[in-house]
Amino acid sequence: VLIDARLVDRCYRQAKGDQWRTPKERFARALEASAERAFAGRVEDAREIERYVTSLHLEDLALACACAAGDDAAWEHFVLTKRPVLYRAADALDSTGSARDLADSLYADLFGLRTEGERQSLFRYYHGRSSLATWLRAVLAQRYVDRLRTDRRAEPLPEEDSAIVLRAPSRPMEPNRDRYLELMCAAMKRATAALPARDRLRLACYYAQELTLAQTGKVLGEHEGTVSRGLARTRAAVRKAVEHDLAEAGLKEAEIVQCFESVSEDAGPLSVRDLLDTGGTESVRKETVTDRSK
Amino acid sequence: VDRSRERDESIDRLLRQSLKTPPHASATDACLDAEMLAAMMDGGLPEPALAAAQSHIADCPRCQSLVGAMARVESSAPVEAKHRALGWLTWAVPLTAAAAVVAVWVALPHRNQTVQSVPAAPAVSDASAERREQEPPPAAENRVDQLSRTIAPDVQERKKEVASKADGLQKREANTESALADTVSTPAEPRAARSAAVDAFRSNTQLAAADAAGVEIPSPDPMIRWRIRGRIVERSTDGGARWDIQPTGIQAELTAGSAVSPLVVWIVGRTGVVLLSTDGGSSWRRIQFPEMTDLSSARARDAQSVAVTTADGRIFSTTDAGATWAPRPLQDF
Repeated sequence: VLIDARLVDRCYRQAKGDQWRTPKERFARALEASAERAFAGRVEDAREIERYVTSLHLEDLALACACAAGDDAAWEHFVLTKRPVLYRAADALDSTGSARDLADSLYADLFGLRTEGERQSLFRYYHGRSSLATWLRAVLAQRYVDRLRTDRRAEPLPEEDSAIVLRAPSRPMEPNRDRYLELMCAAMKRATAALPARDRLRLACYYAQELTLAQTGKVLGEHEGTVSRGLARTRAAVRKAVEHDLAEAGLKEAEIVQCFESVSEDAGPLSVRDLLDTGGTESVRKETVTDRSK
Repeated sequence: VDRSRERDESIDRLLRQSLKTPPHASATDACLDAEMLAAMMDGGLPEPALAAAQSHIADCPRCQSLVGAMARVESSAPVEAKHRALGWLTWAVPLTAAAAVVAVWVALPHRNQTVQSVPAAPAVSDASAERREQEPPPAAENRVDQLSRTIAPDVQERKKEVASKADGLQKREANTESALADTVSTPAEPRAARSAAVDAFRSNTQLAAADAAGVEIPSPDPMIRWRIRGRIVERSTDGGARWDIQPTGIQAELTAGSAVSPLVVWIVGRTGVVLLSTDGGSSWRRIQFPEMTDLSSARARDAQSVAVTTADGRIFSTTDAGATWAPRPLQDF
């Protein structure tokens, strides 16, 4: 994507690029890279490109360009204003402070290394579509999640004697509970798979990530009340779909009641995720036996 | 209705158990990178790209983890949050005052007509709810909508509510009432209308405060939720429009909670405070915790089982309502 020189000049002034002595050529390349990424190779008319580049966080982009070019004043300003952003984000990710090392390690990547005569900085991945602070938080969150995943892979399995001893349920268990639960899980899997992506994302944020309504709303760009109503509506839709599915499978009303009660009771040692992944009775029974042996 | 609600709770429980993100979710080429994620959070993605990103995240456990981490990090940005909050407050107060005056004007001459034309607050029709869901109104419209729903249903009812809660008014609200009394000078009338205006203002200030302070604890029923503010526990039965204080008798600062149903809620706090209510907060039971340490979060499964996290990151769980505690997370949770 080639951007008209006059438009570059206008953006440069708007970005106050002189403040950090941001090289204009570098700034122009950053605008072009941003547009290329946004339009993914599509050819857009000049007006659309202008609308896009002028909507960017231009001041932040100019600062990032200056930092990537190694300007001392820009770096000083960046460290002064963005270090607290990074540390607050790190503490939000891990209140014990262990994510701060990730924040510190970012500086080296942001400063960059010289490869074939040119400094390669992490800033080249910043395209101005968000504020610099949001981008830094996103980079940190990404590294934190990746580290967490790596650590979890390396975690040893818990020893048997350290596992919680599961108590027997207080009342006799319904003999067909495993079957009912399996039917419920299969029906729910079908019901959730049929939901629109946005509804599934709302469920994932709320149930899998345990975000608050406000945080879920931030992800989806919705008001907190809309998230709440959306969850209630989706839950009711899933319930109706499950009821319909169970009835279609030939279950009588009394059995459908049993299916729902199988969930209402303590799910005990059954792994519902495994049920959803396999849907097999054998695996259910196997896991039940395994867990109860602990 | 009861059966539907019970079944919704079963679905809620099953969703909670089944949608856990597997720990070994792998990244793919289609996964979001930091730049895309940041653009999404800042509203910098055009509609097609946003829809594609959301569609991917809905099915990708790794990106769900990333979005979850990002959402927590974003909510820790006090400078920007403060900026937004201040921005809101700068127009919220004059807007609310203006809306209150308009409401009084509307309520006085056409009182009966107004009451008839607007449905009672809890009975918002599905169609209108659906409209709001599809096109979330901007904050200002939301507040005005809230205001009109608060005022319109029944002015007399509001008057009674204001009278019954008069002793619980905070200083700021009392000042507000006084200020409004001066502003809305209709001596011949309408204590009821004035009360409604005051009540509406109060409701809005509560809404504003809820955004800025307090930890909210949602229950499976979206209308019922709790809120913690320091040592105070509050409960709402109308989705957060109105909050009622629920005395717990605890002097320690409360920090977090988890509600597994509209009746069962756990709350934790500093110095090892663990509270359990099984009657929707009408009464609270102090659960013994093995250490006098600050507790920072709670995740409950039912009235017997909860996992709590200490401020230094350790997890304790109980499956017998606190009779015994184990230094482990709950299994299959």
